[in-house]
Amino acid sequence: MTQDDCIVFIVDDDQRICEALSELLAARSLASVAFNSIADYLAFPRPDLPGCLILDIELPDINGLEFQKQTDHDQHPPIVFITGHGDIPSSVRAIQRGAVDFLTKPFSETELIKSIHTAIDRDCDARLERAELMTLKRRLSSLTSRERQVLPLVVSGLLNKQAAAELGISEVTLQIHRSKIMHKMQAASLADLVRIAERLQVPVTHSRRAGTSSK
Amino acid sequence: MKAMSPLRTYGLAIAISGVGLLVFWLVGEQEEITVRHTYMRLAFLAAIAIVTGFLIQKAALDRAVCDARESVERIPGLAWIVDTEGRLAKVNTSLRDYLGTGDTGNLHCRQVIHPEDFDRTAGLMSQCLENGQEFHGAYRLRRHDGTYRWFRVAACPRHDRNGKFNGWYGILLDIDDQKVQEEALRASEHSVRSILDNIPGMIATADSEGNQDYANKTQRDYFGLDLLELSGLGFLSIIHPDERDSVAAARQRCIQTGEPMDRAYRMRRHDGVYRWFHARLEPIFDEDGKVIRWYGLFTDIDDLKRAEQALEAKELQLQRLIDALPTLVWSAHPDGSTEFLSRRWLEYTGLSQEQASDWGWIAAIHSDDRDRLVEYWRSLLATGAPGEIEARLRRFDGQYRWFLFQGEPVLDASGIVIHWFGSNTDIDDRKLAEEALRARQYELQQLVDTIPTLVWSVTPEGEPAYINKQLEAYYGRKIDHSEPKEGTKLDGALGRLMHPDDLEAVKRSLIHSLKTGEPFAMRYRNRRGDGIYRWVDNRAQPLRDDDGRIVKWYGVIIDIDDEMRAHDIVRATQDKLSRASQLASLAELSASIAHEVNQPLAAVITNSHACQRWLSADPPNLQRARITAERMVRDSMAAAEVVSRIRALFKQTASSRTSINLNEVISEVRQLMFDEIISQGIFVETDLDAALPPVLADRVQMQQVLVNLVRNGIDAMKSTIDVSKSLKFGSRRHGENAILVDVRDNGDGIAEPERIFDPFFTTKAGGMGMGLAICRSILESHDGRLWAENIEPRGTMFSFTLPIQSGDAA
Repeated sequence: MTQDDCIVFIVDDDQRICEALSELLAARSLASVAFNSIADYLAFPRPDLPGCLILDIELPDINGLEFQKQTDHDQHPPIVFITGHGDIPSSVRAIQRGAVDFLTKPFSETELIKSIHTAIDRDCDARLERAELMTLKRRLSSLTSRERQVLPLVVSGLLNKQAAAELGISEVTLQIHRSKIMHKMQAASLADLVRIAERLQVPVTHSRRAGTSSK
Repeated sequence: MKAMSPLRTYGLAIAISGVGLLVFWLVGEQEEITVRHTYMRLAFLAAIAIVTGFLIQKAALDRAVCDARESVERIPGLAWIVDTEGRLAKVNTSLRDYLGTGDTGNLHCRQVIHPEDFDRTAGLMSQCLENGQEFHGAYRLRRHDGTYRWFRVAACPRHDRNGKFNGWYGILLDIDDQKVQEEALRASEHSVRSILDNIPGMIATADSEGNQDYANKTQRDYFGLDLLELSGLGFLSIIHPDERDSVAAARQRCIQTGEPMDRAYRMRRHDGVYRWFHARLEPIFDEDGKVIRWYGLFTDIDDLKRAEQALEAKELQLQRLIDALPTLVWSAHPDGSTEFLSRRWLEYTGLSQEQASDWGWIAAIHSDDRDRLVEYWRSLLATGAPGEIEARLRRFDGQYRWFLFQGEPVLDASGIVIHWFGSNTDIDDRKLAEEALRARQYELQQLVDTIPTLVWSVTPEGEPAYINKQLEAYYGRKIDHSEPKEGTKLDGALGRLMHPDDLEAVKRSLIHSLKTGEPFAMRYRNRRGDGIYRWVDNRAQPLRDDDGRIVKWYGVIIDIDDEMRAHDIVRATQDKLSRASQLASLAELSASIAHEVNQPLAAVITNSHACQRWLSADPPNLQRARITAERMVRDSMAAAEVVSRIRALFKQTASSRTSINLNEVISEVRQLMFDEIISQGIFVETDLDAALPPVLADRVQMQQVLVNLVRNGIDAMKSTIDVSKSLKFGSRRHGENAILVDVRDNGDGIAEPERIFDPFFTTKAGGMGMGLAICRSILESHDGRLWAENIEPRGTMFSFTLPIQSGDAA
């Protein structure tokens, strides 16, 4: 991991902590941006890089834990909490909600750096995952509306005949749609298509056996 | 003087004329011879006449004696002559036969007269002799067979020519049979009299004029009067004055008309007590129908009379009672027909007894009620059960009023109805009042349902009694009275309607109120019908009756959720700003201190790590290392500054002292501590002096002191379960120049009241032992004093004094 392809966000109302952390990360060749409040952090145009959010709990506008609870995980990098007086229940809750670590001030350098790295690694994975999903979604959005009707039937395992009957179209037409779907979704096989559909959370609405809607 | 017999008179006349002739002869001697011859013849004739006269005289006398003797002999009784010596000189044949003795010449009276009678008779006779009277008497004379028989005696004394007494002539009449009869009669009369005297009734007799001539002993003894006093009009004096005149009049009438009298009146007993008598006077008539006598019988009927009077009085009283009862009273036969109707009943309906008799009373019932009433009445008659029904009864003026008809059967010993007793009570006014009340109630109901607040009530036992429409709408459900009783309905209701976190406290407080009657007031989260919890302020007051017993609890619930939220926000901010100094418990204070110190320390440590990094880099970045080192110094200084700030806080500078009223501070602290106090179920009392003078002090520090004391009190009562927890604030003037504030709890008390003010002395697991030390230092810096003492029966009292602001104190 190089120093340029990641970034650490620091949110602490105490300017001295911000400074000290920035300095330490700089000494560790880690890029960082410090904010004194969540509002400032949210207002900052974040670069699209894997990163880490070092978040104080006592903040003037919103409690750090509360912020964690309210936000969408995908929108922000993994969080490392730092606090002046942490208690066990809130640290447990924070970890359960996906925080990487929960450090009590004053914390050791090793702990902090380790947590930051864990966070960044996790963010990299997540970003990769998200990127793949984005690709798939993009492909899904390229399907015509008829193809989007056909996709659930196909991944449900219906025979062409059954799927055609379901939609009231000929089997041949269905086969054409199906091959277009395979192509557009860049699926190597039907199994591949099923896996993709699963990731995209395409609902499996039909069963071959019953032939009727059974969920 | 006996009349001379004619023979003797004749002889006497001859003798006198012979004497005359003799005298005439003697005188004639001086005359001539012829004349003398004549005179001689005449004298001779006179002598013959005289002798003849004397002879005739003597013959007459003898004959008279003989006649007398014969006549004595012939008297059909016994006759005797007694000489002066008392000897029987002569007795006639009958007497001689009676005496059975031939020679009576020497028989002395003493020998034949009964010895018992002799002396008496002799006395009487000598008395008669002296007075020259005839003797009449009676004595017993011995018969020849030795028995004595009674004789009536009549005798006259006998005198000789010289007037000398020479004996008694007497006759005897045998009255023995008569005497015996008399004796028998007397004995019989005596016995009758003794009966009359001894019978336990009063008997009197009176003559035809009504003069009492006999009173039996009972009567005499009873009145203590003798017959004389009773006779004439004397009897009136013993009659009770109230009846005297009427009795006198009645008596007069009876005497005049001869009708019997029969009446009762009171008569006075010898001891002055009047008693009732029944007097019955009956006349006895002679053959001509004239009244001869009156016979009277007086019977003592006082006890009877009294019993009668008592009965009458009782009856009268009963009658009065019936008439006085403000209700119409009646009785009926077992078949339902009228037996009796009280005066009031008749007066009210204006019906006569005849009109209302049998089933006539039906006419007075309102036609709309009649069938119903009659049907009901018949059903009562059929079952014999008591009952009541309301119906309209017509008044004499035609107006109908509502009455309550009540009937009660009277049973005989065998359980059969013999009478029906009943009353009709006028309930018209009540009925009207009921109507009015109902209307009023309806209006109130409307009011309660319409006002934009939530109203509820529960019984003294806490059973839900009522909730208004607004509250129903709020909860989205009705109060269900048919709910099965699992625990109490209240429990169920509370459980459904309250936030679980508040439930216990609310329940405790409510139960406390129900138990003690103290008003209930609480803020808590209530679940609305849509499931959302909202803050409400619930307050209830008991309604008490005249005896002070709780009849019902009434409460209102005000939704204060919006206010609470606004308040929360303000308070959260406030807390943040002032927690350390105002509100913080020591734990929070220490956490704050830690935070304040940790913050710069964290920066220092991080900077030192950064510094190390810069120095150990290749090449070392001295420029950056210096910057971080500078920051380390700066932040360390900051940490030191924090510590000294905390020390300054504990030292309490007098910078912000203003004139404050401690009562206000107490109420602020109560507000600040409201949640905590309520959640512990503590009841707060205040005894604040309204005229408390202001003091010069730091308001925040005073709050801090009071908050600490309140916390201490709350903690002291944590384990209190057997009594209701209470916290009492008091304030008053303390001497001339100070005020005193105290805070009492009824917790367990403290073992060492003085040591608790030592720094780091604590009885609490989580405490640091600084709170009370700080409080004392704050007060001492205000020239005040703080101390603690245990109070009876339990608990601790913390008191502090503060000097009154000098301007005011002067």
